[in-house]
Order: sequence, then C-alpha cells, then structure tokens
Amino acid sequence: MASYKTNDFRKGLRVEIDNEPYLMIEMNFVKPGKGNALYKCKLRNLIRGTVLDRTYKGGDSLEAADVEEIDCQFLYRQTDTFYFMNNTDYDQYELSEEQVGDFWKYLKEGMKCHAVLWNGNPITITPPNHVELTVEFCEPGAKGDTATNVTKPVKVETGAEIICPAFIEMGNVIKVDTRTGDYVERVNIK
Amino acid sequence: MAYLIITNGLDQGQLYELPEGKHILGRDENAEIHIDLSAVSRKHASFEVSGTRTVIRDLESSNGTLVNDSPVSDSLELIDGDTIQIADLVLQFFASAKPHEADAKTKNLSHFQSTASVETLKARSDLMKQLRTCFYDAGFHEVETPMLSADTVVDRYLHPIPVHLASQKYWLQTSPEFAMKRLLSSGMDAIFQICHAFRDEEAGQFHNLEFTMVEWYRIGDSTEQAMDFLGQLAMSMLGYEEFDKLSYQTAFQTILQIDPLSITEQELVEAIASLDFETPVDWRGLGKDDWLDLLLTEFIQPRLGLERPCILYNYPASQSALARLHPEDERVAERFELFVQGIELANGYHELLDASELQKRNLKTNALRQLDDRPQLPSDSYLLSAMRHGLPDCCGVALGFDRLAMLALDKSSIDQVIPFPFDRA
Repeated sequence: MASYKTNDFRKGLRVEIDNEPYLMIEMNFVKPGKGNALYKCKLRNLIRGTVLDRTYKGGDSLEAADVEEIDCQFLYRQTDTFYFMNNTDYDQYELSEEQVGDFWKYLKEGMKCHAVLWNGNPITITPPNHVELTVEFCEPGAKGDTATNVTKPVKVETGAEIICPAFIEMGNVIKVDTRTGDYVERVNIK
Repeated sequence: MAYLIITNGLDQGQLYELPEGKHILGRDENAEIHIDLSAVSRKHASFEVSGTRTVIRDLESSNGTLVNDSPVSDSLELIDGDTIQIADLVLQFFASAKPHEADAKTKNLSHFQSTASVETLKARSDLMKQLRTCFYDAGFHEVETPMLSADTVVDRYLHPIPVHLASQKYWLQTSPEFAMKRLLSSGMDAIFQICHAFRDEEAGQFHNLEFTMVEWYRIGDSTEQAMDFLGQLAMSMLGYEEFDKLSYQTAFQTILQIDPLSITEQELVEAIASLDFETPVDWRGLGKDDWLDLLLTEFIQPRLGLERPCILYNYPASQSALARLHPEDERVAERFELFVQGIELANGYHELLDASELQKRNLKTNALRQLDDRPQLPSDSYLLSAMRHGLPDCCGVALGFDRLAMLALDKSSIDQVIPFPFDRA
C-alpha cells in the first residue's frame, strides 16, 4: 500500500493508524536549526470523530488510507439497518443505526447524501445541510401565539422530534439544519 | 468555450464550463453555478457567452460582484484571466483555454500574487538596508560566494539539494559557510554575505525551503566579542535596550532541573517519560542529543527572549557542528544561538580550525546519516584544504533574515514576509 513520508505530510492527508482511517487536520513543522525535524500532527478519526495528537520525526512515514467521498441516495430503513445507493455505480450499502448516528432524524427516502468510503465500505453518511420535513404531529399552539421565542416539540415524518416555534401546525413543512438539529424556517408549500 | 474556476474558498478547484448562452450563478438550487453560501444571492450574477465574448451581469445581488477588485455596476465584458469575487469566493475566468482540472486542485491560479503585502515588502527592504549599514559601519566587507558548489556542509539533519551537471554533482548551499571560510583563508578579515540558502524538506510557519541568510565572519574575535556583536545587532534591528546571555547548562537546570552535560541517556529518557508532552511515535534512532533538542524546543525555547534578545551559549560538545571545543571545559563547544520571542534566529561558532578534527566529525556524521537512510555527503572539501593551508582564528554567525523580518514587522508566519513561498515558487 502507498505510504506518505514526513515530507509529504500536510493538512487534508488521509492516513491509516492502528488499522483505522484518519484525516490530518493540522500539521506543524518544528525544527531546531541543527536538530531533527518534528512533525506535530492533529489527526481526526474518520469513523469515531475523535482527535489524536501525534508527533513524527523527519523520515518517518504513515500508510495512506483508501478513503473516497461519494454522493449517494438514502433508499429505506429496515429496523436498525439503513440502505443507501451510490449515485455513480448504483452499489448498495448497509449502515447500522450506530454508524448513521443522529442523522437518522433527517433521512427521507430518496434523499441525496454524502458518504465517506474506506476500503470501499461506507464509514460515515452526511445528509444535506438543510432538509425539509413534514410535521406529522404537534400540540396546537395557543391562540395568538405568533412569537418565535415560544417553542414546542413537534414530531416530523421521520419520527424525530424537533423544537419549533409555537405557531407550527400539523401538516406544515419545516426546514431543519442537520448540523445543529435546529429549526430554520417554515417552508411555504407552492 | 469559456471556463470559470474557483481559485479560493468553498469548493476550491471546482471548474465550470460556460457554453454559448446565459448562465446564472447563485444560491438557488436551479442556478447552473450553484453556490451554497448565505452571502450569495439566489440569483447573484449571470454570464452571457456569445461567440468569443462573455459578459458578466450583477443581478442586483445583495452583496455585489467584484471583477478585478472593482464592483460591477450593471454588466461588464470579461477578459481572459479576470478574477471575480463573490462573497468569500474568488473565481477566475478563462476565455478559451481550459485550465487543467487536476492541476487546479493543487495549483491555485491566484498564486501569481505575493503572499507578503506590498507594505511588508517595502518594510523588509528598509530592514535590509538598515542591516547592511550595521555591517558596513562595523568595517565588514560584503562578499558573494557560489550558491551552487561541489562542497556542502555535512550535517545529520540538514538535507542539501543535489544538482547534477554533466558528470559532476553539485549542491545548493545550506549556508555559505564553506566558501566564506575559504575567503578568510585567502586573506579577507571581516566579511558578511546576504544570500539565499536551500534546505530540502523544510516547510512550515518558520521555514521555507529557500530562505534568506545573513552570515558573517571576523578574524580575531573571541566568543564574547562575537556574542556581543550579535546581541548589539539584534538590539538595533529589533529595538531593544539590552540582551541576555544564558548558558545551555543553566537554561536546562533552571527550567527543567536537568544537567544536560552530566545526565546519561537513560536518565534523560526517564526524565522525558515523566514530562507531559507528545514525544515522537517512533523512538528508533533517537540519541541523547535528539532528546535534548526535543526538550529545548518544547520547554526552553518558548521561554527564551521574551523580554529581550537572549543568547544561549556553550552547547554540549556533541552538538558542536563546526565550533571548536571550549579550551577550559571540553564538555561544551563554543557554539551559541540567538532567540527572540521564543524564535531561533541565529547560530554562531568560535570556528573549528583543525582540519583533521573536522574530517573526523564529517565521518561520524555520515555514519549517522547512513543509519537514517540518508545519502552520504562529501566529507572532503575545498574547506578542508583551506583549513590545512591555515584558517585564521575567527568567529562566525548565521542569521535567518526572514525570521528577523517576521519579528521586526510583527508577522506570525514566514509566508507573510517573503513574496513567493516554495508552493508559489
């Protein structure tokens, strides 16, 4: 497998450490005039998201990770398994509830997502930044409650609960930011 | 066909083809050039391509459209190479030739520009003038020696760049040291040089593969005198009233309670294990001097020169490089370094004069390089001949001018004081 010498180290490099894929998110080169070079790296685990600090000396090397980013579509969910399809080669992938994490809240059938593949297998799925979801159930808001600072939980079509302003009603379509889980706005249906 | 490429910002390197017709750039999902940034209007700008002409029109966007830094009031015909700025995004327009997509990902097309501001480059020029004046006023003569030479300094961790010409191998100089000493052997007495030096594999906040070095030698100087001249120079260039001197041993004893001269490698490794910092993953090949270097850069250097320039002197004999050993204490070498604000700025020696000793050090260094799987460097040189002929007693100092400029102009990265760092060279 290909490897990177310290001389190739830079931000954005995808490497394998202890059989897990990492993204180099920071690299600082330190070298006393006459001494050995040190490469102080911050690496993010592409599966778990944890950050690792590692120092390498000049001449060391790291294995390259076979990591690829693709566009895919969410097909359907069957109990704890989520099925996705690669938009380019129509390959299908299964992801567990754990791998999908909190993003299950936003997955609608047919939704375009972004996936990271490691050795050909998906390790993370990211939905679009904003998704539109239909409100399936909520308590009615009190009459005249138009202020946005009064909130209530609503249940959307995916089964997730989103905190919305009190004026949101059943059947409304709301826009949600998948990065924060926050309500963004009510979408007018044309 | 015309092309647009994102040269800076989100999706850098993204290429858009602009065939005949009208194309909308905006946040709108249906825009052909769809940019998902809140500062971009839904329909921000249009590109109308007709034959060889392309006209950009600002569609009354909230945040405007700039072409070559001027706002587009209504519409404007684009010419090849124009830069278009929309929100935080910089795009470049190509009238006909398709920019190489693969290249575009790595070679940013706006990289023709200097990374240092015009203001900084002018201030740097003033500093250079001031520095030259310091040397001329002190009676030095400016010299110029080859940057491409058959000789090279033999150092374990300096990687000179070889250049093959005809059947001969030459080296881009990691410092002008060898040639300048040959000039002393030839009769010059106080010389300085401001030149470029090259060190492979060095790139970072404080490093660029090619950098500007100031190097000087004066015969008859004692280590004290050489340190004083360096300290005075730092004071006048950086505006300090005084400078400090601190021995390598005292620095380690005060800050780390370690005597770097008497501690064994085993004790040093144990001491390091008890300290809280990220040591290299692979310890193979590291020796006592590497561990001392590690402690110096991690714990000592950040505290040096915070109030005023600080010269660290009497380095361990094992780190003598081209310095002579101290005549009264052979555990140390007459080597010194200048630190300002925790930045290593200069390295000086009371120069080694003994040719056979230099040859021994070269052989030892080459053996270490072999262990590191690094190419061997010529251990014979014109410098050795010069030393055998007779190198007068002298001191020499090399100072990184780019770092001096960073400190004088309050810049945090070397890219801010040089126009074209190596990735733009």
